Amino acid sequence: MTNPALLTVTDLKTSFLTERGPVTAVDGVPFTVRRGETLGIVGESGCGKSVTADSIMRLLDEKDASYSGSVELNGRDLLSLPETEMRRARGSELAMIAQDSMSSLNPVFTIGNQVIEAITVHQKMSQKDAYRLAISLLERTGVPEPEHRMTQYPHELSGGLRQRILIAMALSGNPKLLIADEPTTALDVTTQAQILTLIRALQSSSDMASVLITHDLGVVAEMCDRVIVMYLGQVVEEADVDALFDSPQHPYTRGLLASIPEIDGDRSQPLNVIAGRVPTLHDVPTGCRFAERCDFATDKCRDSAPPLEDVTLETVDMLAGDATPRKVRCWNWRHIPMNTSATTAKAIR
Amino acid sequence: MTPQPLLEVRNLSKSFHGRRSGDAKVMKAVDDVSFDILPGETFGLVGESGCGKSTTGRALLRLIEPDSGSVSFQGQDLLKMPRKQLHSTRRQIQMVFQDPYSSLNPHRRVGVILDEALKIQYRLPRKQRTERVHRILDRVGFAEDYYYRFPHEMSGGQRQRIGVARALIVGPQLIICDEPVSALDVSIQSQVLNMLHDLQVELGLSYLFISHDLSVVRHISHRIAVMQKGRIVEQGPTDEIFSNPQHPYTRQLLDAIPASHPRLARERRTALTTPVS
Ligand SMILES: Nc1ncnc2c1ncn2[C@@H]1O[C@H](COP(=O)(O)OP(=O)(O)OP(=O)(O)O)[C@@H](O)[C@H]1O
Ligand code: SF4
Ligand SMILES: [Mg+2]
Repeated sequence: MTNPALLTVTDLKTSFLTERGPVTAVDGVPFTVRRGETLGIVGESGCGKSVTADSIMRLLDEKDASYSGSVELNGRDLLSLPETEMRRARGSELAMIAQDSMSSLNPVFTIGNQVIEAITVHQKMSQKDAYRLAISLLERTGVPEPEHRMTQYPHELSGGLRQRILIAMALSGNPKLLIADEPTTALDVTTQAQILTLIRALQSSSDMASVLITHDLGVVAEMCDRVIVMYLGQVVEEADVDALFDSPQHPYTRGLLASIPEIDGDRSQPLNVIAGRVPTLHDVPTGCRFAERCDFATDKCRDSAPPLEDVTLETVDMLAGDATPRKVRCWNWRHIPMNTSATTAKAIR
Repeated sequence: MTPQPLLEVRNLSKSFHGRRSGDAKVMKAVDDVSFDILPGETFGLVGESGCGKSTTGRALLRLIEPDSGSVSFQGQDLLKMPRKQLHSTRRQIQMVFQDPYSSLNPHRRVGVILDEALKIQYRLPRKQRTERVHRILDRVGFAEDYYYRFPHEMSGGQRQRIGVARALIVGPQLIICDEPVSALDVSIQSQVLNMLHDLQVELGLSYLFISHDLSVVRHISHRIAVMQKGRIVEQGPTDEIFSNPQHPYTRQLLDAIPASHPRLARERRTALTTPVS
């Protein structure tokens, strides 16, 4: 019951001109998002999650950022659209809640001004109709007393309410795809749970797909159908969410999963540590980008870069009931013993 | 017999008044807070933003002057102590802050940063100080040449380890850690948590570990207090709090934690939508 593809990203590369020379922050990223599906993008700070999102939305300043590859939404390549058409697509076909968006509400305008503006940018309608639509959007996103909120200023609202309003604004054009970049990172845990529940409910009442960007694997476990793991601008693993937690293949994914103190984990065991640090974009290794920090690195790893390979894992996948293809960027994934991840044992219990 | 507490906090309170004078609004940031920390123990203080956990940590050291209560450290009330004497007590109680980026002077080399921390507390000849700096760097896992590094040449986790080294170098018995790993990526967060644990085992340190992250607090703490709106609503041994929370707010917090596996997340969602018969 796989739905047709809505968004197909192929070999996306995004480079910036910097004082120290050009850098490629996103380097050959592929993925597909199907209708109604939630794709997670995880990885640590600086791995290129936001640049990927901003590239899909084409929000980067094209004076010093350049794209290659393709980003097809419903078969149309967004990267080659003229800016006027791209502007039309933003909001109505795809919308984004940016990483720092909580502070992007303008402090000097009322919530009403801003929600109505978000609506009328994309849709021709009278102020009266826009007001009515704004109220119904705020109702849909669980904002209590919407009429009153419309008259308030951003600073008068809690972080959770501001995030609901931003979601309402993103939904105003009925997008087919919502990109949410760390939508709950700035929120408290109870508010985060409410916002995640809201996004989930909104999705199940429409066939909206979403791309959820987060560094929090717990959020991935709660929300996502499929996941891509990024490291230094590249996808190192892609899998269904259960498969990723049950049988992470890439040494980086395994390391990441084993580093988290779990709420039901064994407290007497030390946490996993991934030694070393992420190289900078100015000195990207020639071989595997993870080699310096990898316990399984061989000479081949240091010499040549592994491709993102389609893999099928008969035994593990049957256990996890997973038939969908997955991808791994590692020369040695076949030879790495399965029990090297702390989460594995628990998941197969 | 339970050991004598290292730190005894009793009825600690601190209110902030509205900004404008005559503003009747008083915010009780810390409201009648009491707890003990035993030698060699990690005491976790959890709660959501604004619940008063950082203010509590600061009030203990009188970085913020509390309104009332007592804070007895090794039998001496810190709140009644003259400022001068308090200064020397700070050898024994140190702080580690959340932000490894801003809490280290960017213009000083790591060795100098540590040396300055030592100089504030002890009159030691230069040679002895330098030796001690090298020993502490080694102790938190750095090669010798890190002495000459600048903070910006290090990763977030490395900077946070320097923050811990700076606290350790004066030989404290208690370290107040205020969100020490919140700014760090998980793989780096685990380095710092493991190191704090190892140092505790080896040196018998006590920690007050302040954090909003329940999984982290659970991992590192022997006992935990849950704070809400300035008050401790529940405290007890970690495993009891997590397996059998008594206060509704604690339950609410625990329920909000994302699941550690998608299967558990689904199970929980089905449980929530299936009516209990
Ligand atoms: N305008 C720019 N010019 C040059 N480099 C940039 C620019 N924007 C981002 N980068 C670099 O691209 C890389 C990826 O950044 P990105 O913001 O996508 O990271 P991220 O995965 O979203 O991290 P975080 O979890 O911290 O949000 C980083 O090394 C960043 O420094
Ligand atoms: S290719 Fe080699 S270095 Fe890279 S992740 Fe795989 S085993 Fe490790
Ligand atoms: Mg980002």
